[in-house]
Amino acid sequence: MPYNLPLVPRRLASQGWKVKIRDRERLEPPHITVIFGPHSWRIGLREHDLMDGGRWSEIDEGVLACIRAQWEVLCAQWNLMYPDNPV
Amino acid sequence: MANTTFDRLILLEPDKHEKKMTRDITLCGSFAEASHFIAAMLYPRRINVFVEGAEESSSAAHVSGGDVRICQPKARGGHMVVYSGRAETTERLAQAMISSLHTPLLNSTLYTMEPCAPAILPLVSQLFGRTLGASVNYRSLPAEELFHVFQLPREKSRDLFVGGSVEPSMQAVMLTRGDLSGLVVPFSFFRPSGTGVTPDFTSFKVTDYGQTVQLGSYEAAADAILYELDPKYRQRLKKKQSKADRSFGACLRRLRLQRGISRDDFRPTTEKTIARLERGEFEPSRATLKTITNRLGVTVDEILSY
Repeated sequence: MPYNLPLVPRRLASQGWKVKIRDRERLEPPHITVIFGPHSWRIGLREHDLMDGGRWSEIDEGVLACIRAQWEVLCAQWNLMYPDNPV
Repeated sequence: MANTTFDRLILLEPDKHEKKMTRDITLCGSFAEASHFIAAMLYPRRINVFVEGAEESSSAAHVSGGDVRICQPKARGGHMVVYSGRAETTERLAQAMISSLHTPLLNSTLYTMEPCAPAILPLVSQLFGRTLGASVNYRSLPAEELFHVFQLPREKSRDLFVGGSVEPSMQAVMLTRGDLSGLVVPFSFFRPSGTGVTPDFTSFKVTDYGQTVQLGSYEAAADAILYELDPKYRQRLKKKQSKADRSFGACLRRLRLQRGISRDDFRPTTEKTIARLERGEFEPSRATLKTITNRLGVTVDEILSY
């Protein structure tokens, strides 16, 4: 089952924002994926970077705040799902 | 629309919702014979065609409202997609074919949202170069997401999945990409995650605008599938990454390290700001840029050459 970060305020989710760790991700550095419509941004859990380029300003500030607030939870979740490639 | 996934998108008998979803497609151009042909065949006595954005000189510009919605860009020819939202529409198309002589439209795809009767399949296959969605096993993106993907540039849509089917006899998932090309993914790709979740191949769908393949409660990222199974995708990524490395931040970092300058050496710009600039988190202000170029003794263009 993928991990879906609960987004607060809830309007973010209703607008279509999602933050996920799916069961099968690319075998690259640990990351989370922010999804909005057909667009996505992978954020590295080690380097805190946008792995595929793009700009932080493209992601809603509320979503980034949720990610920052739950950073440890996201790292722990990745480690649980990918124990062979921990953060 | 010149750079969208298809050269022409034709909606058969669209409902209000489908019309609304395609309203943003920017259209121009003249009425294509192939489009007219389909309309004429489907409605031999009552041709009522609505061509979005047709030029005044177009043969169909005077017709409004109707049974067929044609979204066509400037270019003539090219790949045409005929979309049918309902099984009855697809069946009427097939029935019309029985009673009319036709020329196969080889460079075209019929995309149906509902499966049609097995007896109909060979008929529609005769007219179209390719048929998608007609089998009972096929699962498509919801129409709203599908049209969104169709309207993206080909460079983007080809990296998304619009539908597919599970073929247990082949032990594979047959996925359709946004440019309607296919990709075969063996069951073995979908390895269980660390939490022990395994894919359920009896419950397949594509979600997140084609970015996720769902197999029961198991989800696989589209980019993970493409990265492992499509060498051209990997090549494109590599190119993109090397381009990203030529960003201002990356160039600044290379130049700074080469000169042996620390991030703390750009006062009044703080160490933190330089670090964030190097990570590409934001663009430098004019004042920051001046501080950096003065400290390094180079122009911005020179920084970008590193």
